Amino acid sequence: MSDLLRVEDLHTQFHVHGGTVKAVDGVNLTIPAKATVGLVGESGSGKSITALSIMRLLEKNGRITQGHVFFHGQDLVGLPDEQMQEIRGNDISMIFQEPMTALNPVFTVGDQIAEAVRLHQKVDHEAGLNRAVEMLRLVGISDPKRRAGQYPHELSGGMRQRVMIAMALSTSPELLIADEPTTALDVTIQAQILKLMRNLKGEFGSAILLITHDLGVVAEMCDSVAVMYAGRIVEQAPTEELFASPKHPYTQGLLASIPRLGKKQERLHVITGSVPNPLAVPPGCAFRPRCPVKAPRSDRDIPGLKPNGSTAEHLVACWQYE
Amino acid sequence: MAQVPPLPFGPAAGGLPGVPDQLSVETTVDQERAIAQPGVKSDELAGAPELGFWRLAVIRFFHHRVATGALLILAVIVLAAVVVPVITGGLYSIQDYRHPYKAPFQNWQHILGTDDLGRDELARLLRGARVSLMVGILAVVGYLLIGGGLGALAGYYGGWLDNALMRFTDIIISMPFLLVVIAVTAATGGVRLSTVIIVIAATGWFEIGRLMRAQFLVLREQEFVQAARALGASNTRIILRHILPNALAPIIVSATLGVSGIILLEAALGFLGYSIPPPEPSWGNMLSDFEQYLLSDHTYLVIFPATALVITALAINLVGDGIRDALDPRQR
Repeated sequence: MSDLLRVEDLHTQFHVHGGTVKAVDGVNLTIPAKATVGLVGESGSGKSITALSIMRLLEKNGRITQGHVFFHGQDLVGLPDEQMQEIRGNDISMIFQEPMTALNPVFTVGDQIAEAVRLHQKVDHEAGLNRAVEMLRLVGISDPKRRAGQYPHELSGGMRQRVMIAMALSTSPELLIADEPTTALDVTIQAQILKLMRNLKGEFGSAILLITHDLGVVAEMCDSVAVMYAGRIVEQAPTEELFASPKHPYTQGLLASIPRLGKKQERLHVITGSVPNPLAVPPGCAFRPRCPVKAPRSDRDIPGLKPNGSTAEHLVACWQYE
Repeated sequence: MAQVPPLPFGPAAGGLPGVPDQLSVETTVDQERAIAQPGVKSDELAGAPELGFWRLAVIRFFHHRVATGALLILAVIVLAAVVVPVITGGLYSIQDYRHPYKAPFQNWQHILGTDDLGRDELARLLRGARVSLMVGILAVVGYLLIGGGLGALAGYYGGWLDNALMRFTDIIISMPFLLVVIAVTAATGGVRLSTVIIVIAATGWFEIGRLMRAQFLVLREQEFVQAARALGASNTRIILRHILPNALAPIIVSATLGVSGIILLEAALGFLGYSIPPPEPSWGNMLSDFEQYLLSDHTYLVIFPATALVITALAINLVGDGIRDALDPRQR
């Protein structure tokens, strides 16, 4: 499969009071065309910042200091703003965690989708609105014509997320970045939205970068998974491979901490300790303070992401396999 | 799509017994839509009108009796000020030396009497209303352009631009308004209405500027702004189409209240002789012309312009309060 997006050695830093936060610290990630790639990690691990770096939507105090983001072989880092604007929403779209606040409260949803279309296609408002109604129908909203004339506050959370998806897909982007698209929704709606995304992915042929901290979502949705910890990817593998034989101690800990139906457990597994202070990440492997293995060399050198699993696609960054 | 081995967790974990597996992986898009629809139907409110923010605000405004009454009075004043002088033409400056100081409410020819030169008081009042309203509206437009523009830029871009603009605002706030008016009038060689409008606009925009900046500071962090950017919208587009309409409510209130403030300011300047020069009447210079009559005969020559001023300012303020309540019902 040809690579749609290739992130190479991406470093993103934030200047804050008290120093520099290396939010993304050397991420390598490849998204093949039409694939769904999951990016998992706990809060603050740098998943969202990776996505925002790809979109070049960082806050003013954040900067990509090193690395490349190749989209169709074109490096997005250092691309002029005007060209980046062309790509955003047209070739790469993004949906956000909070459907409640991600829609502009003063315009009808139809107008907003029509605007998204018209930003990238030379059509009049009428045609944009028709496209909006068509998209609303596609994302499973009943009576789409009437809904298009409604304001965001008149829709439920699940419907708003459908509208966001409709808006993101209205230009048939090749890559859809979904930043925790279901976190703010209740479980039944979560399942509907996930399935909708999977089905629409088939219809539109978009690749998806799915950012989540929910391993259940990953298991359902993704072809491959990258696990992030403290700004770095510690393990990357095809989904079933990762769930069947996790290699990195962090991934093993994550999988062990999931409650299982039907199995009576007194306590859930806990990864001891907490995420390192982003202003003072320990030298060597950032996971070492919490690691049950504490492999030699991990106190000095940062392990690289290398194929150490059963297949060539299974990459892991841990000294115990060196 | 990866064929993931069934995992013992997550929403697709084989389904619990007795629970219809509506959401299993295998349903098609069409089935999904069919499932989605009954739920959608259930939350429809049959026949409920779908109203936007502004429509609702208008409805709330007209439910507010005082504000509606004030708007009616204001409409009458504006209409009279616009229409009547067109009909009566130069009546306000026609002098009739045989009938000076005619008392009001005595005959139909001069309903509100005449002044010291026998000029019709009502015609002069309405002509003065024109001046007041024109200054009020034009200067507020100036507030909106200068304050709104600078505030939006400062709030949206932040950083050094914000710092520079806010320090500039501090300078403007510390300007002695009256001295500026006097100095500019002296420098430009005479009393002119345009001077008054420009100086008021140039020194009074800071309140709207700060309000606009505060709005933009809050709104630029909203997720829908980020979402618009992710859709490929430019900064200009985000400012004008996404943030501005959301920032308008308090700005409209402040601008409305600003009009009455400016009208009073213009009257004060007129009183001091720094607004429109005679024979053009303004409420301010009418007051200063006849101030000595306040406690003697011809009191009406002071009462009428003063009343006009108070009623107009009060009506505008009440309308402004009504708009505030209409735009933010929680603030009551």
